Amino acid sequence: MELRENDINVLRTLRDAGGTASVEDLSQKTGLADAAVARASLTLSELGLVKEQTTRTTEVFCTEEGHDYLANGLPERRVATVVHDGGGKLSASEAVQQAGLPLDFVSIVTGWIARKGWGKIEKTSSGALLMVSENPPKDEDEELLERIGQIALPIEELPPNLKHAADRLLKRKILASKERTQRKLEITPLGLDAIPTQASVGEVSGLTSEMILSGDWERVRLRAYNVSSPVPSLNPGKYHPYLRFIRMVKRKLVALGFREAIGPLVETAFINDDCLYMPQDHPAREIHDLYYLKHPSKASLEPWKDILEKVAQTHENGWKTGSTGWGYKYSREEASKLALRSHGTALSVRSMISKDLQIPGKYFAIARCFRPELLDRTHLTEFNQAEGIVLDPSLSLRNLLGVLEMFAREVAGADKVRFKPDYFPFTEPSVELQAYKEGYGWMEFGGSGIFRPEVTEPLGIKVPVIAWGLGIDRLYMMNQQIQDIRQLFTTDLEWIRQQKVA
Amino acid sequence: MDLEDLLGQKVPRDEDGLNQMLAYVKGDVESLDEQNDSVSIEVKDSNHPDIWSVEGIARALRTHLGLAKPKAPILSGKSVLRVTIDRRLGPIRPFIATSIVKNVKPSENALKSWISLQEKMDLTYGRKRRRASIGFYQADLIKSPLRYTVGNPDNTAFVPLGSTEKMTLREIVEKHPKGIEYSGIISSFKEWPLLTDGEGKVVSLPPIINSNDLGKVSTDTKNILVEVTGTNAKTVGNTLKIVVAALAERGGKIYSCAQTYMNNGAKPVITPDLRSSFKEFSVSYANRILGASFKPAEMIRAFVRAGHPARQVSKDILRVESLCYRIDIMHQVDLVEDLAIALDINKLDPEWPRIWTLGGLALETERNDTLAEVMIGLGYQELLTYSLTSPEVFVDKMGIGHENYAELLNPKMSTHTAMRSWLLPSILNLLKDNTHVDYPQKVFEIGPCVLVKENGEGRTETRYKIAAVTIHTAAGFTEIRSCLDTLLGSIGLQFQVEPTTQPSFLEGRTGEVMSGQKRIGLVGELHPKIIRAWGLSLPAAAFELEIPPRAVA
Repeated sequence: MELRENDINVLRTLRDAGGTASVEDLSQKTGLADAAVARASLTLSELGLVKEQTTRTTEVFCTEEGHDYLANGLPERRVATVVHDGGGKLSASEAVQQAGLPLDFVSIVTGWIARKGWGKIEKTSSGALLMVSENPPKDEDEELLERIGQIALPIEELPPNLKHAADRLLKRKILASKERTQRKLEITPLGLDAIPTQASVGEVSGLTSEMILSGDWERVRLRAYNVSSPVPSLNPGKYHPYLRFIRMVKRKLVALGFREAIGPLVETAFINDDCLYMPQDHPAREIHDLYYLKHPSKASLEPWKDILEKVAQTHENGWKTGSTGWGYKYSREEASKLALRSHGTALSVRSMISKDLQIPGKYFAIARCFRPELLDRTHLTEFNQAEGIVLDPSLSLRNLLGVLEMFAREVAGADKVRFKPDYFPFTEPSVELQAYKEGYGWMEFGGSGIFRPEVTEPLGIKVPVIAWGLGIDRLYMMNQQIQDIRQLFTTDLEWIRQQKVA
Repeated sequence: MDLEDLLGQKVPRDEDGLNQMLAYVKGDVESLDEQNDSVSIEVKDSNHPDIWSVEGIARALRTHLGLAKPKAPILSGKSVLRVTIDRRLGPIRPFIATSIVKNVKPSENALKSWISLQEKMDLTYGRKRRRASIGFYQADLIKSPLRYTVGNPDNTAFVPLGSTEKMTLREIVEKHPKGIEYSGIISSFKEWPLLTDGEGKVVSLPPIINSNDLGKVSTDTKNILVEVTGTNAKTVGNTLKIVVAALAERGGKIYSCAQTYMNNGAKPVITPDLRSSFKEFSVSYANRILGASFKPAEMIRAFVRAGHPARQVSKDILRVESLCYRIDIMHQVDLVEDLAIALDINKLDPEWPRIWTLGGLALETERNDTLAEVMIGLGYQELLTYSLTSPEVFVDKMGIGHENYAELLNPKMSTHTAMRSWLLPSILNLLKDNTHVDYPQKVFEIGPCVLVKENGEGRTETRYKIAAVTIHTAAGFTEIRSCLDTLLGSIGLQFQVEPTTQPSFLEGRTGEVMSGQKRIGLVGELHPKIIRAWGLSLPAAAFELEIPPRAVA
């Protein structure tokens, strides 16, 4: 970026001022308006040529009383002078009156004269007697008062002895103070480099197109930069760290021959639960585990009327699947309720009822799911599940284990795997995948199974279907050593910017 | 450990060792309490109530570990108790099944286990007592015949369990903790289910609470009456079987009772029905599912360990017995899983499926990724925010009117009550937390929104949108419009920007993005009122677009 004249002016002035100056100083020295200096400083700080510092100072200035004393002298000075000029000995009340001060000043004035060592006080029956033999020299209080005069002075810039004086005068309400925020600019090494030298003949700071074309570059000397000095940092555009991880998982699944499935976030209970042979009064379907919609609350099941009948009968009595069924009265009303997708398996149902389904086939989805949870370190109300299915007449439980083992090694980078019996209402047999990774130990990593005939047959699928799900949120947390799951949806832009892409 | 006494063998004390053993019953250690030498177990199978008690777990492990052969619970005889059922219960809670288990004299551990089994069954299998609920009573205090009848909520009174005062049925439902919890099951009826004994004493108000006099079972109780009422005959019968089988595990003798339903004059129903069920089981079918070639004899040995006595009836067919409490066996495939567990799935050799399929991303993903690539090239940081948010965020704070959005029936947090219909508010919601972070801030998100439709499948549509915001001292229309043009130009979409107004944006600096006749989005400078509403203080410009369908050639 080309620096404007004002920018350069500010930089030069800064350098000449010893590297640091306040905005007001700069405005004075450059002759630019405050606003122009501020604009220049913004540009320069964005480029890293100057650093802005905000300092807070306390300024002291004269109160009304202070102004009076500035003109007429401090009370103790006035009284001391009266006493001295009057022969060196006078009653205190007399002296105060002669000095033109009210009588209630007597004790204050005698106090200060004594404390400052300007004279002696003798107590007599008729009151205090003041003795001042010499005209006292100007003291720090008076020096400070003169120095301040009509202006406000930062207390921090005073020498230590005057700081004490300031404290005293503040207490006496001769001075008052106010807080002031001051913006100062400091030139950086980069800023020093950026000041165009009033080119001594033959030395230039920047190469121009003209020089390159004309060959002038041969006749000039390019000023050397300090290449080791720091430069301004940039914030590049990047993938969100968690979405980057999800893209990586998707690539791996695609490489393993899986085709991605997508589906809506709002599903009917029919697709989300019933097609998965979860009985309608199953405890997991209650209001605690599913977000139902108030508006719109229901949807027509007309598009699914063919499979609806079979699913209903399978729930009631097993239909033709060879199962006993759940033995309850299936409700189409319940089936038509709308809810937020609560598990990725709903997307596997979508794949199975799609007219594009192919056998043999492998499908996956990274599904955003929703459950009524309060947010804490281990729970999100909105989260992701990786889910999928494999369909083929040849499939067996050993293939299911083979799929899980491949995921553990390829996607999670696990060293060893083992399997545990598991339970899902929609798969039988059901298997939990546990993966071992050096430094992490054994971890539960996914659930899987072969869909029950009560699931597949009503959907018109006559081959074994392996269904699997991976805890992708937890896998990412493990990879990135994140302890709190809420970090996945963090609003901390700085953290997002700082995450490594590797 | 109580489990060891029931099992007759030492069990491991470390979590991994216990988990290995509990794998047979799909159990996981939740917490170990070394001081009390107890362990809390999560049993995953929500359709397997016979292992929801320490008795049931011990019984299953005994056969799996080869310590015993499966043994069906037996009926020791008929009890003298008769039960009559009032026809008026028909629409309310028609079914009851009872049994007396004699000679129990339960230990503290046993009582604890049975109460816990009762609670779990009431909750899960009994669907929070709606479908079935269990009661225990001191059998010796109850005179036959037991009448399952109805009572007037205001004229009937008894002392409920855990209380000292007589209360009417209505008082119980309104004041007793159990009454309040389960009142929904009966409160809509005029008359409520009631159990009274031969002397007319109230035994219980099913499914709410027992009588304090007759329904308090202690370590001194020798003979226990188990009663199950409910709305589903099968569930009621199954629940009784499972409970009495658990009681019998500790030496109790099971006696049957006769139920007479007054409505049909049919012969009495004798409960519990402890008969096993039998299934023909195909060896080749099982081997196909397992991907193995086990011999019939191997399968029979494994079935015995899994608690299913079995014998071969022909070359390919086994006759497999499921004991009365194995109500989870719905299909032959359930037996295959029991077999696989007994054979140990870790002994099966994993094999990647030998099928060839073409992998690929969804078209929508490809399209979203293309847009992300261009935005990142323009220096924009990608974001991820919640799609579940609240109208305060995506309506009120944007200065727009309440439109049609998908709203939750049962929100859990006031910040998550509806599905967003656009992305820009989510982005501003993030930027408001970052006023201390270096500017310029240039961010974008491609994410799902939910739109409500008048009709059509699902009544809603999930649509991906893209939104971008630039915020810094010099942010403005030209900058954001340049990004928009670059983005849409990169994917080859023809579009125009026409002047429009929208309350979130500054009038005169807002455009609607038109692709042909279709409005696909908005672009403009954010209104200072909106910027302030979000606690921001710098100029900001933004666009939001629906993802253009099939824009990529």
